[in-house]
Amino acid sequence: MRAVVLAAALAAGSAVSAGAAPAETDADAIAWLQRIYRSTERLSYTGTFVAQQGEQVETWRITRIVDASGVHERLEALDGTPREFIRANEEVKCYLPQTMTVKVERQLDTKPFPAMRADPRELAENYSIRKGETERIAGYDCQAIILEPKDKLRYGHKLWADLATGMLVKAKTFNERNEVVEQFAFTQLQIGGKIEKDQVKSRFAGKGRDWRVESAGMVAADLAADGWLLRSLPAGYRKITELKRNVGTSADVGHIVLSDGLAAVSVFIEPLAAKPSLGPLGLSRQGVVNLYTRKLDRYLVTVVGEVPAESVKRIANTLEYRRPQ
Amino acid sequence: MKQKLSAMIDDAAQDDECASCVRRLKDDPELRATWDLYHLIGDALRGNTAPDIAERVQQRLAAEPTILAPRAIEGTRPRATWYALSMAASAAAVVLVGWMALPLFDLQPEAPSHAGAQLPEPPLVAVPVPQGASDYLLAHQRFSPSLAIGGIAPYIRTVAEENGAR
Repeated sequence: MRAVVLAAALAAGSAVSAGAAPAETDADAIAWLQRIYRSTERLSYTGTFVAQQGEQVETWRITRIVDASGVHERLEALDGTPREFIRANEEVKCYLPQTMTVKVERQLDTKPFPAMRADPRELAENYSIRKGETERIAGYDCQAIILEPKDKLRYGHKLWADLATGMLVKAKTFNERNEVVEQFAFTQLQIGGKIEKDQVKSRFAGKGRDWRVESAGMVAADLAADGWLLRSLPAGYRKITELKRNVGTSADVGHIVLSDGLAAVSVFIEPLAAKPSLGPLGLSRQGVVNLYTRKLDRYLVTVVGEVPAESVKRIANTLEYRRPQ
Repeated sequence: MKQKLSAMIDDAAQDDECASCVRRLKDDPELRATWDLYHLIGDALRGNTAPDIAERVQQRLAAEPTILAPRAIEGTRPRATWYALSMAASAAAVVLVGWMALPLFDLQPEAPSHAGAQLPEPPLVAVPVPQGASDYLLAHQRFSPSLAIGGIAPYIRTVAEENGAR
């Protein structure tokens, strides 16, 4: 009996060492992650980064100012179709000058949304986290942190953070075949110092008064009371919040947000009758984002997330509807 | 040598390296071809190219000898095999050289690897996100913490192309 146990243990041991790095989460790496999250919340910065999503490479300029008036940010695409995102605390405006459209997202109730900050303990259940090498990026000496998923229901990540401030300078996301599906890296970055307020103001807002405004208000909601249930979610994913909101021209869309501590998944639920036309059902993809659409009763369900295709599909198929009595 | 060439194009080479590069360029037609190709790819990455760029790069690479092509076994269809392999090799070369010209990124799967991943399962077939889906992507990004510079950065993932008609 003992021999059997020993043989099994040996077999298990060799299986681990034969596989990819049998990495254990180390406390130092978790402390580093916490530092990255803290830093990125309180730091002001301005810089240019290059981002690759799937086969597409684009350059972006980002500025973030944190002061007594809160958080103000501006993000602008420097390549391709002009796009600009302006954030003033809880309000985000997306300017699309080619169609003179501005999409506004704001929260209608005062209770703040739960923090979408990663929880290191939760993370350690779903990822092995360890420190990598130190490397110089955009003039900053950076520490690499590796997050290796424990199953195929989420992507892997490698993050590079400035040794001095904890600011994230570069990041890569890997799919289940270990291919890079998304990455970004700053090519120029100023952390702290003097950043002009002008840099977080819209460059487009003043150019004409004919903006078509699409406003999306959000309120907290209890979708379970409406009969929507997510039973048997994939391992590691849990519900973060539930909302009612507009999505584009659709009003009263149910929105459930799930997370595994790092990746987020959104479930959108809307009546089929309200959709003028129906796009293709099933799976679609853009870079790191997978999207899965299905019909359920008289509703259209759309699941979106920076997670593998298998995860969005499973989550979509886990949703149940019981008409309220 | 090709690395030096790449460095020179990126303005990262030392003066003496540049001088030796230029001498070699004068004498070596193959190196000159590589020089042209690197500029072509650099232009493509910056988006300053004529519409037929991909075709020109493909042609240039397809014209290079393909050492991957196996010797034809009698009775098989060597032409089709060679064509397929040369296309694959060309695509690989484009990717490799492309990323060399943009040294910021590398596509090597250095880490992390998926624990317990054996043979990868065939991927679920996915089509590009349809036009009307951009609003879902936009609505999702506020809640996406995974691009950990937080705040507004995840919005880069929203659909680029937007035409007013919906």
